[in-house]
Amino acid sequence: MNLEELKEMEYIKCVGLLAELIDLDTDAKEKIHKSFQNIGIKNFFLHLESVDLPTEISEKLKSIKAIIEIVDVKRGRA
Amino acid sequence: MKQDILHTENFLKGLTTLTGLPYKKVQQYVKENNPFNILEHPHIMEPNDRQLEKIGLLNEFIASYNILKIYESNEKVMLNSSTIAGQYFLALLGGMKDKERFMVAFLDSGNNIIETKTMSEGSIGQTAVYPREILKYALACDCNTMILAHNHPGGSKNFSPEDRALTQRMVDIFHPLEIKVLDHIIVGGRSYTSMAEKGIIPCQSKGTANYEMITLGPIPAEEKRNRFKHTHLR
Repeated sequence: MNLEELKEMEYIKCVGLLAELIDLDTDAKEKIHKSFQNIGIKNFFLHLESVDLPTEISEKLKSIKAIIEIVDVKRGRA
Repeated sequence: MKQDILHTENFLKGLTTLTGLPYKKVQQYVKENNPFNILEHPHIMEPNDRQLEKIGLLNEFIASYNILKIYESNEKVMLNSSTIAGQYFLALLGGMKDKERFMVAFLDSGNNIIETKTMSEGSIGQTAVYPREILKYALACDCNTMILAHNHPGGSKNFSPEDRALTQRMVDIFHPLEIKVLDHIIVGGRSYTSMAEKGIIPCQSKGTANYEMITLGPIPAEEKRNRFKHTHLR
């Protein structure tokens, strides 16, 4: 399995986890998956505001962003 | 300092929004404890089943996010420590409860991944590993080293005698070919154990190469014995 395949497999897994975590519908799942593929997961969370998603979903994604930001800070210090 | 407080507050708000844990309870806990304990040891918050499931999903998502960051920032993924290898396989195998999967990362001389392959996948009951297949891929990709990994669907992180025997069998096959088995990672639930970290990874052949199929069992014998003991102690 090459890096691109591994990355794609992980994107699919991530979207599935998001769907369960914040109850995404098919449309939102597809939009998020496309964004991951186009700009990467890191940029997706960095530029969350520019991704066209319903407000309720955006707010929940902001909650996830707050958590991964502090996890990143923790890792940086470790 | 103020930014730290703000970060923690955002973390807690995010956590309660996503999991349904009561904010006041979480805030109270964090006054005297590390907020990450809630993610790493969720039972301290006495969550209900739904909340526990959400914390689990969040942990899985964080593991995947971390592995994707590695994929996105490097052309090559370097597994140069047990911690990085553990995190890598945790992202690939973490939370897998319905099946047992055995994977191998084939590495070059700089410990960069040439290829990561799922070598076998079985039911919760058992998985068959074929050393010949692993040898075939190792030679085809001309690797220098390799890291073995598999998950225990039951969640145990203990190395079973079968896990140790399999590792020794791999060393018996690959040591004469100057291909080093660097580590064997066991993923149980959402954490992992590394044989190299524990200092029990074999580095020398003990017998002749044996290419017969190896069957991996899901529950380490020691754990089975302990379960038996606990049952009778009650």
